[in-house]
Amino acid sequence: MTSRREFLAGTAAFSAAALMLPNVARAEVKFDPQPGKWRIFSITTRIELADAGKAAHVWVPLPSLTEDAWIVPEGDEWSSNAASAEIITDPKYGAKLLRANFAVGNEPGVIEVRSRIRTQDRGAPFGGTRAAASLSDSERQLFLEPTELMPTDGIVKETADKITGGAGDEVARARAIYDWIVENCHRDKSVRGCGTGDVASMLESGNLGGKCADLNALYVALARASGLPARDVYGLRVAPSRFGYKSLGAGSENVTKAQHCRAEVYLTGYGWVAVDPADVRKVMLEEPPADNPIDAPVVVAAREKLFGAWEGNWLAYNTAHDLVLPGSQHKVAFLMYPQAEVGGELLDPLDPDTFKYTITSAEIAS
Amino acid sequence: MVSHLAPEVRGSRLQGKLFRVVLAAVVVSVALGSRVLASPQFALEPWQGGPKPAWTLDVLDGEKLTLEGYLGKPVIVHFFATWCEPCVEELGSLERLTNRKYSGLAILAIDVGEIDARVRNFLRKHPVNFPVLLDRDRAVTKTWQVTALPTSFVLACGLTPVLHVRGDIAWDSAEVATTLDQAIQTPAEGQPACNQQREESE
Repeated sequence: MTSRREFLAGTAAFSAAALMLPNVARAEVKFDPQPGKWRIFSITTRIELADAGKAAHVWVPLPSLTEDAWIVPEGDEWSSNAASAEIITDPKYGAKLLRANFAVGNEPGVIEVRSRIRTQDRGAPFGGTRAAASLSDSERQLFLEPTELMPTDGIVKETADKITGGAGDEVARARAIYDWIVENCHRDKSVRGCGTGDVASMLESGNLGGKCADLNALYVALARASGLPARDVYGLRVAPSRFGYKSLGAGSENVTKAQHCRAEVYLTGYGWVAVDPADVRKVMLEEPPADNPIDAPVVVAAREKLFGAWEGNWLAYNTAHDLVLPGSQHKVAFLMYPQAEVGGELLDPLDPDTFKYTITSAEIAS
Repeated sequence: MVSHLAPEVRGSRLQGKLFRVVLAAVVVSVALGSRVLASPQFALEPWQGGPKPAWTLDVLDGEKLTLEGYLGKPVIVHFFATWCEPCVEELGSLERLTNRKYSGLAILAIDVGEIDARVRNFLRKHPVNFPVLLDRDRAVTKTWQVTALPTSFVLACGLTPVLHVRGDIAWDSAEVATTLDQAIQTPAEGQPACNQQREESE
């Protein structure tokens, strides 16, 4: 395990190496998301509970984020043998979810939820006119505040200050944090699901490995500690990448394990800007032939774009943290997976032996 | 959040031979320019803060357990999570520590912020013989100001922390064994050993 100080010390050397990459290598691979072509997807989540002998509750995340430039939810419908079901909106973050309640009965609970969304690529906003709407005071406060797993003081603030030097404009600070994550963190395949996002533990232990919920949460925490409003966006990959990146798209229509969270940072004049350093590290680890160095063309191409842009083969559920499941005492750090409570105990959505569900994605001709 | 670079400094009420033995080790160690226990990266450090608040937590698939019930025994309170990679190996070393039959030493592992099902599945693969408690809402983790996992505290018989480590260590290593031997098995002058205190109090 490398110490935190060693990681910090290594940043400058990595940055210098990145600047010396040959331009010829960058031209060999194309990764260039651009808005202009909307795509419509239907996402079906089917949950089958195993135990009919206990009262049960199910919560299914629904696409909640509406951003006219890149994602528009177009409605949800469901069928179920539940005693009752309703759509609930979290008052703090606006996260929508479907809650279904199953009484003790003869038949195990089943619910199938279909959500339809319209999405398109996001292109980098830099260089154009700076006319984005300003953030309200309440939104700014919400997306600057710490969460249970994302403190913004102590070691997080200390690290953010070292990365940004406490100076530079908003874009420079946001980019510096992005580069630091790319150069100092790594994707750890052994992490279950998408990780937990325990940012303080990552920094204090010096173990900067993880998956999207770890690496992009670290980005968000460091940005907030730098005074930049930022948010995790929890979602799902719904289609393959049109740019041929196997690691940046869904491998099939079965997207049960294709959850992916991204990040956004709010920059004055540009609005919410797409940021996904975790996917850069995913390309490094997994994109064939795998274990790519940071200067591999396939990595460089993705890295150049994933600060400011991302591909519209992904849907956003919500930006919520520390969400108490409505009607339950259980709280989740984020809502990206279906959740179920049977007999008062929350099931593990990452354990297919005890909690069976499938999520499928179908693109609908527009 | 409390940074490890800014350790807490508070008034303490550390008592008894256990603390004096540990303190002596600390003094010698500091004089030699090293920490209490040699480890590649992390090591037990003398606890500079004050007492920690009492708690009552659910044992996984069991009854509630109260820290105060261990008054009179030295206790290791170990905070971990199933997703924490270094925690897995460290739990194994704690389990091996139980086999060394330290007189009266109790080990209490506290899982931080995870659902019962996940902890249960984890322990099927990594079974331990000491109680595993569930801090589902992180309330104890917060009041004990634990900001990174794993984190462990060694409590003297009065349940006051005397050592702590933020990070993983090999609890069954020779260095740790030496310190625990001294801390746990050497009775204070004029004072009964911890386990004797415990027996008398019962």
